[in-house]
Amino acid sequence: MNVNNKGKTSFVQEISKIPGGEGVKLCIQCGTCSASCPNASKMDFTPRQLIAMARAGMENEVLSSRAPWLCLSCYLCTVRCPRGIKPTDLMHSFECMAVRRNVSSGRTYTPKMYRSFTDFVYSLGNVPEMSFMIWYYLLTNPLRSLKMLPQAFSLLKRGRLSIKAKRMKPEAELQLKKILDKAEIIALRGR
Amino acid sequence: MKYYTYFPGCSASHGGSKVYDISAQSTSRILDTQLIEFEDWNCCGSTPYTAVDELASYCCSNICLNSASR
Repeated sequence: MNVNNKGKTSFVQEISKIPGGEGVKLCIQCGTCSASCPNASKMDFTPRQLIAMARAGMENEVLSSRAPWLCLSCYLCTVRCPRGIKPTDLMHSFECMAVRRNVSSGRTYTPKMYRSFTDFVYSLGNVPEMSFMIWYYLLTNPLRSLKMLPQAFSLLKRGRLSIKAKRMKPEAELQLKKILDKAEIIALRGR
Repeated sequence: MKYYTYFPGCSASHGGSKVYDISAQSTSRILDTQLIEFEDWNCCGSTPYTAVDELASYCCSNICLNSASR
């Protein structure tokens, strides 16, 4: 099915090019992925619906859905799919596309969390979990962090939340920054 | 005694999965091996990174592999 076939590659073709998305045309809509998904109840569209929508060329609906952002990467759907489709990889590609095209995803903080994650990788090279969570709550809604305080305290008590961050050598840090900068430039050009 | 290069990652080295680090270290002791954490490892480019910028996340993991092979 080709919805927007005016010189532009259709959404289905684009998905078929993604590693793991080749099989999207083979989907038999059995719903094993949706049944296996531990987070399906919180998604606006289940993985099966999302694949059906992608095949129908409903690009905007797929990319603005919050379902891909709720994927936990447990890979149950990938393991169980009888047709060898990799819904987990598809979900991540949808996220990637949504970020690249600046499509806002409905009512979920996950993009902001991912953004704060990449901020830390860029500036430190690794992600100290405590500072990462603090930065994330500052970016979204600081008040929500109050709800997490008891959990943070119990984690601290058992030594599972360290305050100090591991730093790389300055040369290594600089090198990483250069490579990430270049990767971003290449990704922008490929748009 | 065998030596292995060890990549703990963000979570196991100073995060919520410290327990995995402890059990890996103690298992290796029983197996008469030693895990040596290599210098200057960075993020492995995990799920949150893959979702935002796929290429950069592959770069991250490859930088790690490169510094581990040294």
